[in-house]
Amino acid sequence: MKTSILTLLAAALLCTACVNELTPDFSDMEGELTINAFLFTDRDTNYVYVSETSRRKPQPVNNAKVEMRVNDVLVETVDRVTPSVSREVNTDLYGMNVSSDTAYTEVLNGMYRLTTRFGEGDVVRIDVYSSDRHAWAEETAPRKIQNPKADYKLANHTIYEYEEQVTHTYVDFTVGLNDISQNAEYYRIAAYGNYGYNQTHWLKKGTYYDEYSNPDSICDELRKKYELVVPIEFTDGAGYQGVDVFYMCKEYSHFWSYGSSIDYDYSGDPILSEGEMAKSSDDDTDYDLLVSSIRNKHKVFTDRLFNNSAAEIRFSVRTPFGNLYSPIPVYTNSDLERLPDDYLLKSGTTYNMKVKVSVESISENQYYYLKALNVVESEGYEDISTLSGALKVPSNVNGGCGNICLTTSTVFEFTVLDNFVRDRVIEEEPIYYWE
Amino acid sequence: MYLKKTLFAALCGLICCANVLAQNKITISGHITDRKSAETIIGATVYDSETQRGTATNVFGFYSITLNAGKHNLTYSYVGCQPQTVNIDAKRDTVINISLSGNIDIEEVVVTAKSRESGIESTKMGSIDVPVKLIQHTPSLLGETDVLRTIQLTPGVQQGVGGASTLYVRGGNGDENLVLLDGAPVYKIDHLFGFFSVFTPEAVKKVTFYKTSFPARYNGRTSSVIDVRTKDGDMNEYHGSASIGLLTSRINLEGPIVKGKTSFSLSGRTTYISAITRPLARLDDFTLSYWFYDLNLKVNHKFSDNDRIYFALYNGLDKLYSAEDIDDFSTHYLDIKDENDEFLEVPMSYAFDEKLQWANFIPSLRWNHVFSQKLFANTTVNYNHYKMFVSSYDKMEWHYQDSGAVNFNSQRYNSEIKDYGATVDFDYLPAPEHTVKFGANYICHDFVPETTSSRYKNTDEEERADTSTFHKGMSVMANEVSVYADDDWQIMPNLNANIGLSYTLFALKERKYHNVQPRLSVKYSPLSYLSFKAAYSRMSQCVHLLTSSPISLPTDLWVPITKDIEPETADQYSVGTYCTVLPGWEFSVEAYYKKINNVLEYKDGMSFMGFSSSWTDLVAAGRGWSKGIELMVQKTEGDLTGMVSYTLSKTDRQFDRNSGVNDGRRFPFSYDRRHNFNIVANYQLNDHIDIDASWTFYSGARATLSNTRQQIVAPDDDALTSNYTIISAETYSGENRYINSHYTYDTEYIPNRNNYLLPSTHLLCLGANFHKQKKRCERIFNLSVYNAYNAMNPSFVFYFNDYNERLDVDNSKLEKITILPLIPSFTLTYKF
Repeated sequence: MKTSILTLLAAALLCTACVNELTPDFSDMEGELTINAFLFTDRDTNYVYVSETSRRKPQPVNNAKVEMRVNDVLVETVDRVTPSVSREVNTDLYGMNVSSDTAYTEVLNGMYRLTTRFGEGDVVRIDVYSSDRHAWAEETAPRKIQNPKADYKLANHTIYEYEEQVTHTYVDFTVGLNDISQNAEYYRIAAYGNYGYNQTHWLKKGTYYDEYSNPDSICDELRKKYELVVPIEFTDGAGYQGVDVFYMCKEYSHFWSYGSSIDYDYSGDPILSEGEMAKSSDDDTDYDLLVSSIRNKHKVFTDRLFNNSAAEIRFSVRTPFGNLYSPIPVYTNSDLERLPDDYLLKSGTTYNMKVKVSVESISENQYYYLKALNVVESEGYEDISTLSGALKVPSNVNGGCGNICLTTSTVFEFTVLDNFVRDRVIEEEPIYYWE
Repeated sequence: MYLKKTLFAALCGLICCANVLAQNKITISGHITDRKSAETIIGATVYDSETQRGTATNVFGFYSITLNAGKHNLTYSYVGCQPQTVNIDAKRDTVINISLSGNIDIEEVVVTAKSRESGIESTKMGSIDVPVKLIQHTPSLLGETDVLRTIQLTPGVQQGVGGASTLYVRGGNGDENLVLLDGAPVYKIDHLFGFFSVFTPEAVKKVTFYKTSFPARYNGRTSSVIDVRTKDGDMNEYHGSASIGLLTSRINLEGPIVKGKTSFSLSGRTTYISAITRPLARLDDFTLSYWFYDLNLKVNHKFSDNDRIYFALYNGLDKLYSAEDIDDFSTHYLDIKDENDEFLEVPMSYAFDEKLQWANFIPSLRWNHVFSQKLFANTTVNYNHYKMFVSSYDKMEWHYQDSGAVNFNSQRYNSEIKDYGATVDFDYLPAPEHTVKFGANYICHDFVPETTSSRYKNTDEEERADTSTFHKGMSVMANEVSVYADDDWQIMPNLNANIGLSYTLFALKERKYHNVQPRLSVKYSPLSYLSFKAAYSRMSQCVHLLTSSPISLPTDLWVPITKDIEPETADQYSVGTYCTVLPGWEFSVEAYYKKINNVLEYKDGMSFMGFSSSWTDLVAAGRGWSKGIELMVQKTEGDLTGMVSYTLSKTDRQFDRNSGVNDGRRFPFSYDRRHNFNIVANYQLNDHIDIDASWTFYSGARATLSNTRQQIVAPDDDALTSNYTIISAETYSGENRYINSHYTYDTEYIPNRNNYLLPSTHLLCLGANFHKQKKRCERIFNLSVYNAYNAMNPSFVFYFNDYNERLDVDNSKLEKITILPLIPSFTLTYKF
C-alpha cells in the first residue's frame, strides 16, 4: 500500500510540483556541547561521550573536564580521554578494521571513563567543562526490580517468510517482573547472544579448499587438526588399485559474541509491543506510510499495563541454525560413498548458544530517548521527516544536548545449546562445494 | 449534583421570570419560506419599525417575536429576496407565515437583511454567515468550489499545507474545529488527502462559521464551529443542476414528492481522476486507481404548520485501489521440481490487490414541533459511522497434471468510530427582550481503533497450511452529555447581551470529566450603523486527532481523552467594532486573546506510531496563547462585491520543563503566521459574464529544520548489520564486557521546535462564469486559474544533508516543494 500511495503522490507531484532551492540562515546553530552516557549502577566502569554539534559532522571533544557527583558529593574528575585499552584487542572490535594507532584513537575519541560506583536511588550529576562551555545533567538512578525471573524453552515456530512457510527453532523467553512502584516506571529488556558451532566433515587427501592453493600441502597442513583418518582401498575402472585417505576436519565457527545485543521478536507481547500492530512476517519493512508501525528496536516499555503489579513478558530469540529438530542431511559424493555409514554419520555440526538477558529499570529520559531512536533509526524516518520535519531528539542536558541515561539491571545467563547435535541422515547428494 | 440543581433552578427561574414579564404582550410567529420552492429560509429577518425590534428565523425557518399589543409594521426580508411588509393590529398571539420571492437585484435588499447570527446586528462576535453564492463565486482549485476553502479566506483562519482544506483558527490545531452537517459532527471532512472537502456545494443551503462567541449549544471543540445545513428540497417544482469538471461531476435534483407537503433533495458528486490518470498509473497488468463520491439525501415532510420531520443522509467514500492480475497461464511460469527432481516450468497465475478505503455514513432524523408561538423545539437522533480500512490480498495458483497448489495470503486493518446521538433544542421567546435557547445533547462514542486480521492458506500437498489471526483493537466507550441555555437579551434599545452557559459531562469508564463553559457577549450600538462588542467564551474538547503528517491521511486516528489526559480548554476574550456607515459596506475590527490549556503536542522525538494504544505516553499537555487583530471590509451591493481582510496574529506554545517538549522553552506554533491578507472580489460584468478573483498573502509558517548534526550514542542493538561506528572498548575490561558496548552515529540536531521561518505565500486565483440561457436550462461555463502568476509557494521544505567527509565537500541544500503551481481548469454546469 505504501508503494501505491507513494506512486499516486509521486504522479501528482510529477504532474504539478516544482522544487526550488532556498538559502537558509542557520548562523545560530553552531557548536553545542553534547554529553551522552549509559551509566549502570554497581559497575566499576562507565563511559561518558563528549562531543560538539557541528554543521557537518559532530566533533569529539578530547580536552573536556568531566565531573561526577553522587548525591551532591564530587566523587570523580576526569580530564582526558580515557582509552587505557590494550592495542591487541583491535582485531576483535567487531568488524572494524582498526589497524593503526590513529584509527584506534579515533574510535575512542571523546570517551571519558568513570570508575566510581553508584547505587540505586543515588542522584548522579555529570558536569562537563570544555573551553568556555559548561553542560550538565542530573538523574536519579532507578530502583532495582525486585526478584525478577527469567526462563526459556526451545520451540519451533512456523512463520511465513519470503513468500513461503518456514520453520525455525526459537528460544522462547519468559521474564517475570514486579512493577517497582505506583508511579510510572520505565523498563528495558535486552538480550545478548553468543553463538557458535563445531562443524565436522570429511576431506579427501588431495582435495583443497580453494583453487589458489597447493592441494597436497593444504591437506597435509590441515591433517594436523584431523582427529580421524580413514584409509579406503579402491580399484578403479581400469583395474588400478590404490588407497584414498579421508580425514575428518573439524572447524569451529564463532560468528556472534556477547558484544552485540539481539533484535528479538516480541510480537504478541502487549507490553513490549506497546500496541504496535502485528505485521506479516514476510513484510521486511518496519514502516508503512499509511499503517506506520515503528518497531520497538531498543525494547523499552512502561508499566502502563501492569502498574504496581506483576507482569510476564514473552519474547523469542531466533536461533541462527534453522530448524534444529529436523534431521540434517549428510551428503555423500562419489568418493565419500565409499566411507561406511558409521563414518559418514560422524559428519555434521554441533551447536552452541548462550544468551544473557538483561532486565533493566531505566530512567524516564532514557525511555523517551530510546523511543525516539526507534523512530530515527527506522526505515520510515525519511518519510516522517519529509512530511513532518526532523524529529527533535529529547535531551536532559542543561547547557547543551545529549542524554545521561541511568540503568539498574539484573542479568540472567542461559546456556541454551551446549554442543547440541542434530539428527543426521545420509543423502546421496553431490557436495558441490568440494568439486 | 449541586451543579445540576443550580443549573436547573436557574433555567426554571429564567423561564418563570420571562413569563411574568410577558403578561401584556402578544407574540407573532411563523415560518418564512421561499415563495418559489417553499424551502424554509435560515436567517431571514423580521423587523418591526414601530418598536425597532427585530428577530431572525432559526435554522428551520421559524421565527417568533413578542411585541406589545397594538399596531405594528413588520418587514420580512432576506438577502436576494423582495422584502415584504405586513401591517397588523395585533390583539392576541398571531401566526404569520411569509413567502419571500427571490430573483431581485441585490442592491434592493440588503440594508435590513442583516443576520442575527453575524455582523452588526448580531450580539455575537466572530461569526460569519458564509453565503452559498460566495462559496460558488470563490475561485477554486481544479474547479471544485469548496466550503472550507472559502472559510480560509476569512480573517483569523490559517491554512496548512498550500491547497489543503485544513483550518487553523486563531492559533488552534487542525482538529479543534467542530464541523457539523445538519447538526451531526463529521470526523473526516475531506477527500484526496485534504485537498477537497466532503461538502458538495449544490447540497449546501447555509454555512455559519463561528470562531468566538460560540452559541451555548455548541460544544466539543475549542477553536471554531462550522455549521453546514443542507437544502430541504423544493416543495413545488422539480429542478436541479448537473456539472462536469476536470476531476469531478456533480448532480443535484430536488422537488416535491407530495406537492406542498413532502420534498426531497438529492445531490451527488463523484470523481473520475482514475480515468484521467489511468494511462500514467497502468503498467502491464498493474492498476492503480482512486475514487471518491459524496451522496446527500434529504427528505422532509410537513405535517402541519406546527410539525415537520426531516430525514437526512450523508454517505461519502474514498477508495484507493491497486492491483495486479496475471491470469494468463501462457505467459508466466513457476519453477517446480518433478518426481525426478528435474526443474519444470509450470504455468501459473498470480494476483494481488490492495485497498485503502474510508467512509462517512451519517443518517439523521429530526422533528420540528411548535409547542406554542413562543416555544419551538427540534429533536434530532443521529448516527455517525466513520470507518477506514486497509486490506491486501495476494494469491498464486499453479496446476500441473494432477497436482497443483493455491497459495493465498490476506491482511486487513481497520479503525472505526460510531456515534449514537440524540439532541433536543428549544427556542423560547418569553418576552420581546429575550430569546432563550436551551436544550440537551447526548452522544455515545464508540471508538474501535486498529482491528487487524490476517489469513494465510496454502493447499500445496507438502506444505498444507491454513492459519488466520484476528486482533480487535481496544474499544473505548465514552458518554458525552451536554445541557445548555443562552439568552439573547436586549437590555436597552442599544445594549444587548448574550449570556450562555453550557455544562458537559464526558464519562469514560475510568474517569468522568465535568466542564462548565460560560459564554458572554455584549453589544452596544450608539448609532444604528455602529456597534461595539465584547465577548468571552470558554470551550472544551474531549477528543483529539492523532496524526503525524501535515496533510490529511485516512489513517489519522480520532481518540478520546483518557484518565491521564484532561480535556483541552480554551478561554477567549474578544473586543470589536462594526460599522455600516456606507450603504452596502460593512467594516469590522476584532481583537482577541486566547489562552489554551491542556493543548497537546508530541513529546520531543515522538511521532504518531500508527497505533493508538500508548498514545498518551507520546504526548504532553501544555499551554498555548494566541492573540491578534482582524480587520474586514465587506462590500455586499453593486456590480462589484467582495471582501478584504487582514489579520495580525501571534501564537505560541509552552510546556513544562519536564514535559519532554522543547526543554520547557516557549516556541512558536507551526502556523504562527504573523500577517495574513485576503482579497475576494466578484464583478458582474453583464448579465452573461461575471468574474471572480481572490488574492491571498500569508507570511511564512514555521518548520523544524536543522543543518547541524549531533552525536547519538545508542545501546548496541543490531550492531553487526549496521554501518555505525561501534564502540566496544569495555568488552575487554571485565566480566561485564557485554553490556558496555554502544554504537554512535550522527543525526540532525534541533535546538528549538519550529525554529525556521518559511518563506511567505501569496496566491492569485481567477475565475470567470459565462452564463447562457438555453431553451430549457441555463448553461454556465466556468473557467478558473489557480495560482495565476505561478507563485512558487512552499508546501514542504526539506533539508538535504550531503556532506562528503572524505573530500570535505558540502553539497547540503534546503529545498522547497511547491505542490500547486499554476493550474487552469473548467467546469460546465447546466441548471434546469
